[in-house]
Amino acid sequence: MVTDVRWIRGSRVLWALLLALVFQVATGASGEVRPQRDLEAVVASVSGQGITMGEVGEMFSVLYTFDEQKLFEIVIVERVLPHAARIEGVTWQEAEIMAMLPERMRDLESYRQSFEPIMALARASLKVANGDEPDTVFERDLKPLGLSRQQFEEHLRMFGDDPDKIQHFLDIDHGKRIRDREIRMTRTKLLRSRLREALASKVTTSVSFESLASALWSQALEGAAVRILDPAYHMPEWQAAFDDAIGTRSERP
Amino acid sequence: VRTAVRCLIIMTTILLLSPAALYAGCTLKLQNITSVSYEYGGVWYETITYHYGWVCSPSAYPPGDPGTGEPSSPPPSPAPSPVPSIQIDAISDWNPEDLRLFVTWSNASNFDLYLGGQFRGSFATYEVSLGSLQNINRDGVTELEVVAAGPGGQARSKAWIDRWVQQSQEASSDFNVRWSYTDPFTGHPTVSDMDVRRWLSTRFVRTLYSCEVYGPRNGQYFHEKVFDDLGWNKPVGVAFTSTYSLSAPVPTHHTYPCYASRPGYVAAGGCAEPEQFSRAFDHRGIGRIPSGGLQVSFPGSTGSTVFFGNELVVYPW
Repeated sequence: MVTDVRWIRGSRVLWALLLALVFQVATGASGEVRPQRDLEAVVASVSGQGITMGEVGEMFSVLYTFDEQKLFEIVIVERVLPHAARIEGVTWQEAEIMAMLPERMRDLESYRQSFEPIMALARASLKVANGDEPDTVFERDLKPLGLSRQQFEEHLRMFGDDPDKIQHFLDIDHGKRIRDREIRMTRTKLLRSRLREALASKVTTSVSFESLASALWSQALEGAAVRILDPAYHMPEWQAAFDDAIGTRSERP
Repeated sequence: VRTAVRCLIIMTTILLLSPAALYAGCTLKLQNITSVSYEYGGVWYETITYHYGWVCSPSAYPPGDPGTGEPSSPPPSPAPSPVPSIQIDAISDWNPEDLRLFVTWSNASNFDLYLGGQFRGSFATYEVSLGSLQNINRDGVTELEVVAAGPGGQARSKAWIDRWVQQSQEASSDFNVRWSYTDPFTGHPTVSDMDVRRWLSTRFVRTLYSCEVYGPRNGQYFHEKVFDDLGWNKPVGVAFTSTYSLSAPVPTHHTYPCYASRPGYVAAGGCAEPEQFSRAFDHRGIGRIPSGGLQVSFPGSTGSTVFFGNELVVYPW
């Protein structure tokens, strides 16, 4: 009998440890970088075009959450909303989207140029990774740009001593990448707003907004031939497409 | 950072050489204080000028004195007692921690002072310390009354100190914050950015007087509380450190840490309580987030924020 009680207690401890481990992995609470994923793996397709794990992961910088279903929904909604707009007869102009962009992003070249301080930090980190003296690199390359020693040291820690990793960072056109993503997000925001207006105008005492939105979303998913290939994800509900709370918030609290 | 301040004090005495000054009963009395402040070589100088003059009570002039123009007359039988007179001339808050009251009075051995209806003492001087301005009601009108009493009667004079709480206009600015971090999905360093809006305002306690004021108005604006708010549109946390400075002649800095704590991670704010008067010639408050004084954070964050600082200026008017 005593042995049984001890066994039960022991199993509780094991369960607690297991749950803590699962929680830590699920939330990323440790602050550690997650195990590298197969970024090329296709997790779904829309209109025959694959969506890779990498594209889903890129949405982390939109929501800063480890909830992959939410990141997945952003990508699906972004691809499917134009279909919904066509079904509903909603139109948009690219010029409208450009006008909605934050001012700093409107001109690609100047926006790209604004990344220079961070690129300078990366180039300096690469020099250190290749054997240059950090003090010399800081005095020569970063101080004249108004960058602090603290910023340099933080970047040295982040980039580490792997020159390939730093070169990978330097090879990316970050300005264009972030701007393109913002354009896609802005398009989604504009279409969501217009579709909500269109649906709201059809609401009657017997037909609710929810039923209209749900029906339109089903039609759009079907029209866009959405297929989920990774069972870790499930099809987004209509709320993911038409709920205003999804995405970013810009109001002053 | 403290800047050394040297005050060059020039005392200019204006002597009114009238014959009346030769009689007993006349007193040399401060009549005004003026100041000029200027910056030279990065150091603030303040030139203070004191203006003095002779104040004589009517009883100091003998009857028939040619200086007064009064005709001679035979000495009357018992002369009536002179009627006391009293007048609040001015207040000076040049040093707000030692508010000064200037009073002209005569035909009494002293006068009583009441502040906000409370008896504060009897005085036989022309200048009285009212103590710190901060001890006077910060949100309302306080009555100041002086009463001179003598055998010939009683005289009163009143003035009012009006203090009220006032919010500055809100200063705001938009700036961009950029940060690099290790992407938790790819394991590669990457970069992101966002626009941040900042709002700064200050709650002042303003003081006005119903009577004349001598000297620089160093007690006019008391910087009580500073509200420093940030708002942004991404679900990340922001922490910042800011300083609030009153610029001259002695720079003072108030540092206050601020942390994002509201649900949704879309705002951070902080308050500083400078609890300090600004100097008469510069009532500005300068709120500065120094370069590197703002950090962005989010789950799994391992990166560094690149931020070049932001400065906002608030004025009390």
